[in-house]
Amino acid sequence: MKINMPVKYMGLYTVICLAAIAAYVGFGHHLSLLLEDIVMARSAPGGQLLLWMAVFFVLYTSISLLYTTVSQRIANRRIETLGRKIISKIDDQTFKESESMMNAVFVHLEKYRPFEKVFIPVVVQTMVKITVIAAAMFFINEIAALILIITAPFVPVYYILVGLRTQDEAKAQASQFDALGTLFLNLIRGRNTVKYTQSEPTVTSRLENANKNYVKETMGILKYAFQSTLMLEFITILGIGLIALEVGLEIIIFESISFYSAFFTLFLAPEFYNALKVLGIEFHNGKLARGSLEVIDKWLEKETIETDYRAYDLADEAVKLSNVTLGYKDINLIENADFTVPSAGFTAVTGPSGIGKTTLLKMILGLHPPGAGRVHIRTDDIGYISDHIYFSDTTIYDYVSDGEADEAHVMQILAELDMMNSIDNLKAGIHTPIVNHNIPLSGGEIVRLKMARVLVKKPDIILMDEPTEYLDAKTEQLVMDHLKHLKRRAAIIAVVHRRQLLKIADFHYTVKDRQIIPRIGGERG
Amino acid sequence: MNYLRTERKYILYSILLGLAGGLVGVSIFGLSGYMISLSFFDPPFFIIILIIAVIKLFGMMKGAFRYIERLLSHEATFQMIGRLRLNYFKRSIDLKEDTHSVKFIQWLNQHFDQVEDYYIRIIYPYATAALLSLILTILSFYIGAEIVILMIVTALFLLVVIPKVFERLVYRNAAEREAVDTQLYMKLYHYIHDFTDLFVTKQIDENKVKMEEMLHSIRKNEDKNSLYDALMTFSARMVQILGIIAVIILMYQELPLLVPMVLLLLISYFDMVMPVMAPASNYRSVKEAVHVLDADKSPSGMAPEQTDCISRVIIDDLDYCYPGSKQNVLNHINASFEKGKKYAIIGSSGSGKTTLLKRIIQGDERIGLYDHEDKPARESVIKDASIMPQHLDFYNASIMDNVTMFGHFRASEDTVRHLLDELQIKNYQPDTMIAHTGRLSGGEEKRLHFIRMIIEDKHWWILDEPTARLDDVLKEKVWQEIFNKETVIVSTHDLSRLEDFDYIYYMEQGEMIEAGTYESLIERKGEVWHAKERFKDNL
Repeated sequence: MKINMPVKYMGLYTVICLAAIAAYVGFGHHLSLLLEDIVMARSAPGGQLLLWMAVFFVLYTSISLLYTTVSQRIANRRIETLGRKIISKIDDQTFKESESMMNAVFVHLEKYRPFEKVFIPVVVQTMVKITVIAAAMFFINEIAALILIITAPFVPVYYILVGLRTQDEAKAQASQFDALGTLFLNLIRGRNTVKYTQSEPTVTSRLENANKNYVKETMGILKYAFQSTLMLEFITILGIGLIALEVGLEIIIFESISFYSAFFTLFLAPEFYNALKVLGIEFHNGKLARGSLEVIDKWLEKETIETDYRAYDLADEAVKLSNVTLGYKDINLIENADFTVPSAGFTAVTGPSGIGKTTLLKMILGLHPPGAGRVHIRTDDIGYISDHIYFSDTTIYDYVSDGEADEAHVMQILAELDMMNSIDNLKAGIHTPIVNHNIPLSGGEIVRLKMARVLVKKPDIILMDEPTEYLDAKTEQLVMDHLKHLKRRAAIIAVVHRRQLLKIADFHYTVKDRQIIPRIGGERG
Repeated sequence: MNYLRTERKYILYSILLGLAGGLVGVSIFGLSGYMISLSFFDPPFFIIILIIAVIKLFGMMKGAFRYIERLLSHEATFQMIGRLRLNYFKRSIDLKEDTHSVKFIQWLNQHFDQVEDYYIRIIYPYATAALLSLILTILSFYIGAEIVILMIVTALFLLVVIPKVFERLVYRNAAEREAVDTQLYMKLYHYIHDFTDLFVTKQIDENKVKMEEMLHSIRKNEDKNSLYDALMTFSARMVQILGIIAVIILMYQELPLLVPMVLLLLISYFDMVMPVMAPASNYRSVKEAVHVLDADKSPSGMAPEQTDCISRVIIDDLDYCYPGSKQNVLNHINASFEKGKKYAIIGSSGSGKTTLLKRIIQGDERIGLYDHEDKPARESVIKDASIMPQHLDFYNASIMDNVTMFGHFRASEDTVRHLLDELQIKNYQPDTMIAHTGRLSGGEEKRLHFIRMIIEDKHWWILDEPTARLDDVLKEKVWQEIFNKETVIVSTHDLSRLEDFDYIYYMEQGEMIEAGTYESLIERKGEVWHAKERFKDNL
């Protein structure tokens, strides 16, 4: 399992661990001396020894405290950085997979955290512990040291063999658990449909069965994973037993060992095996955590737009596309097309749905880089009107004014757009705080709010994605009147679905055969 | 322990096994300590061999106990989560909360995450540790009263005092964490769903900075948590060294031979009990979560079955005001709908059409439902009507499961395949899995829900904007299906087939402005005529 931790941290971890384990060995040393006095000499324990034993133990405990604190702080910092990286991958398409993005931040990042927080420190600790104990053992009881070194490899070798087999199954199982959780959430979210179709009994029994199957399969896999822990336990006890036997024989038959060495050996040996066992168990958890990192990595691999791909080198026209190819990974919607928009006037773009009209707007907005070709633009002062919005942490006033207009001005514009009726419905009018879209806005109202913002900001370029539905005649007329006025000094590029809007178009293009073709239809075109 | 009622058997067994494993575990250490002392005083050789054999045997037993007990405790947990989910889902059907709200889902997620830990990490290890402490205390009577007291004091520190002292801190920290998590969840959801607009209004960086600040407070919160855990271990270790010194001083005179044994027992006891402290300090936060999720389901009184179908829906002077809103969205609405006829409700956006449909679906005392003899029938239209609400629901399951509501409606795969073809849903087959419901486009959702309604096959259809986000060919198909139906109530902006409805209602600002047959309304040259004229303009 790859551990991608900077060397400096690994070095730091190793040094702290060395100090902690050394202190622990020191504690064992003094404890053994103390017990030799008590058991063999039947004398009172020496105050000096007792003190040293306590000092070493406190030292060990304090350094351990330091180790956990330091290593967990480093881990938490690294997780924070990873979280920032994931969030930086969000773009205008992410909403389609919003659940998966939310899961990456709230579930998988948290599932990965123990890998850095626990697993890596445990690996370092185990390595240091077994090295130090084995080394110390050579000074205490050479034969026991040999037993340690010979039996130790069984543990990791066995674990790696079993771990490899469980890894894939465990990963599959983890994703099944996720799927079951998602289904549960989906059902809760979609309970209205369940209610309307009166399918509650069927749906509940389905959920019940899904859970039963999951438990059955998972227990099968867990059985396997736990069996390997059982084997580890056996190997460990075998090792400890061997050492106990060796110590026993040395004491009774050969009488070649002091009480000090015997106790010290039996004090350290279990620590040695326990360290290996803990590593084995953590190995399994580490594997699972790595699975979450893979999900996160998928997001991190995503390419994002780092810099603005548009060239601000136009003096006369508002937008100019030269030899542009536009599309998604596997399909091109537009190929080697040219398209020029003058600095004022209404440019209508039509064509059947799914042909790339909205993507074209997104490209001009700076949200969708072209596959090839160049996007020239005069200014970044762009307004965008569509029927989609998700308001949060704002008020109608803040949204429309953008800090540039006073209340009276905003009210006047909203009144012109016939919005006051809906606004009066809100508790605090245009100053009603909006949190996570908790105000009911119809598509027509959203369009009018966006229109109001454009009327305040008066940008040089206005992009508009005409809603295919929702707009009633009155709203449409209002919006059109304003557009007619705005087009005198601004370049308006609009994806148009209705003939009505074409009436005010100066230029008309259709997306067809991956080209942007001029059409007769605008007043001047 | 109401929450664990069905898993009781597993829990009892796993605690007993855990206890046996723990006892055997500490006795291994004790025995090896005893063995050393004994060895130096020329015992018969076979006794030493016997002790070693027992140590090995105990080790094997401990492993086996632990194995079975882990299986049992995990199974109990999985069953508990499954049951909690099921109960919660049953209750959610009648919940008042808007389950589509992001906040609600986040809340639910957080609580279920905590429940996962409840048994495996908190209840069962703690019970095991407490029983182990009890038995060791009883055993210490063999050594002496001082050791009994020592044992009791130690156990109290480890199992009660230290976790209690930290519980408050941990609880407060958990509450803080929950608050930040909720904030971040909302912010992130907003950021994802409003990205385009935030980009256009140049607020991306500002929002990112806010989220990064929240990530930072999560880190601080985690740091605090780690510190608490580490401090708990530290305090326990301090108790341990005091215990070791106390054992040495108390025992060296009378029972020097037993000192190594008792010391090793003590060390092993600490190793077993210390890991229980941190989860135990979490108990309060987790218990609250489990409690919220496991409230008993109040049996929803099933209305007595009435066999007669709804023949008429009569709305008599209906007013409606959303909670928290100042003004009525519906004002003095009068309307009636009869079986066998087709009704359209039209009007500009925000005129109250959707609200009116919602009232009909959810029921209102001003809306009467009558059977063919004009006697009040049924409590709700749901039994007789298929419904297309504005917000459509899909589930991460196969297309087949989605359109038949997991098999609630009978339909063969061929039927579904045929309907998919008919409505030109090309990328999907009956067995296609919908892994991410968010990836369905608006048009796909509409069509899939249509298939659901066709399969459901009820007398009435109530639809909100059925043709929105469909292209012309599909719109035509959908209209055809709608007009094949016996009784329909449709709210729509798409006036292309207005003339085919039997009766039309026109709403404006929550009021019913015009109503009548198409011919009469056109003749009148009022609002409906205007709307129709404008509609002809569509490209």
